[in-house]
Amino acid sequence: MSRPAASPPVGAITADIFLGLSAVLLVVLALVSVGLRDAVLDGVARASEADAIRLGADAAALSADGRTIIYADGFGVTVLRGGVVQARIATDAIGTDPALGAALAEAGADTLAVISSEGQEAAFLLDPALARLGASRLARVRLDPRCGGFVAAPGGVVCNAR
Amino acid sequence: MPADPADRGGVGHWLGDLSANLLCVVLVVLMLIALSPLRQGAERPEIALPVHVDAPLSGPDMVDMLYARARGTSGAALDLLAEGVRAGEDVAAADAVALPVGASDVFVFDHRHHAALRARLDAAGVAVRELSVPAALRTRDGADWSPAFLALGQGAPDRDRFARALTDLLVGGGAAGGAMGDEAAEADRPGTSLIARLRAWQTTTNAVLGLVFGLLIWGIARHGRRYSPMR
Repeated sequence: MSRPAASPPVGAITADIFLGLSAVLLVVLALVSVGLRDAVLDGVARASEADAIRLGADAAALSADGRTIIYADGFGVTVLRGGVVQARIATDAIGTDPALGAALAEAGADTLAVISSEGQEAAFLLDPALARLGASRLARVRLDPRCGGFVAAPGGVVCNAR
Repeated sequence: MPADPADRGGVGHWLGDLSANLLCVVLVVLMLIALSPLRQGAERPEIALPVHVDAPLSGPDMVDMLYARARGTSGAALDLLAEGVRAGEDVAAADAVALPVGASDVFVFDHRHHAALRARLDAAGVAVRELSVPAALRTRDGADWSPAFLALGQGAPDRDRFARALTDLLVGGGAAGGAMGDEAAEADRPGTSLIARLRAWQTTTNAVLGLVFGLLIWGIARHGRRYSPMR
């Protein structure tokens, strides 16, 4: 019994099968890659850029009811009112930038400082800056590092763990 | 096994081995995902974070708090760390730590146990002053007081000199400066997990993976089809 001359070698056939299987599995992998990122990076690395953006957006949503939100994160502080950014001040400029005072001049008593877990440097500088501006009381909520997003709740906020 | 002479010395062998290895890697990654705890417990727990109202600390208040903490004279100081709450020398869970009476200075390194600790302090009627510890006063990994800050308490004989030295440390260490370190330096630190190291080398890893896949595709395009059953 002789094989035809054009018969492909075994290696090339297995290679085709393996590559085909790999391709199918890679598609599956891509479909669950969000889960992969969460599973692998949770608690290991710092919050990702996407998480930071989501938290910032949630802070803006928190201010939609008219109160003033001072959101402190790795960049600095952002003053939000009615879902609109009133001022955005880098960490280095918190003590000196007049925009903070200007943005808070119209703020009512209902001002809430939301401090993300990356925002402790900004929070450290925010205290004396507010004290200099004459604030005597500051409502403050500190976000848990596991927070992947948060919404207003009676007496504070509720965050969803990542 | 390969009896066909046309296969000998051809690309079939290494192409087969290479693709088998690729399949193995993909399978291992898929298994890791399936075994990871987060995939099993997919529910996202909700964390309630109450609002606390305090007076904003003034500059002199902060110097007072840090002076007392650095000298270790404040018996009411609590360090809120990632692993728990430190009162004196001992670190305990937020719901087990012995609370000071009357007033307490809380130094915040990590927010994880903040809500639990504040709930207990407020329930016990303890007046709280909270200070977020800046990077310049922390160790490189940000988990604890830097030796430079703790040495400040031993070295400075009075509050004024302490305040000057503290300012130097804060300005020198800077908000964006050395203490935070860049990502590559962080990955070089012993004890950093493999994942974090891989992340720091993400670009290189991507480039190598891209090159391997490119070579594989080139190999198939160049040689693979020669053995196609269609011909």
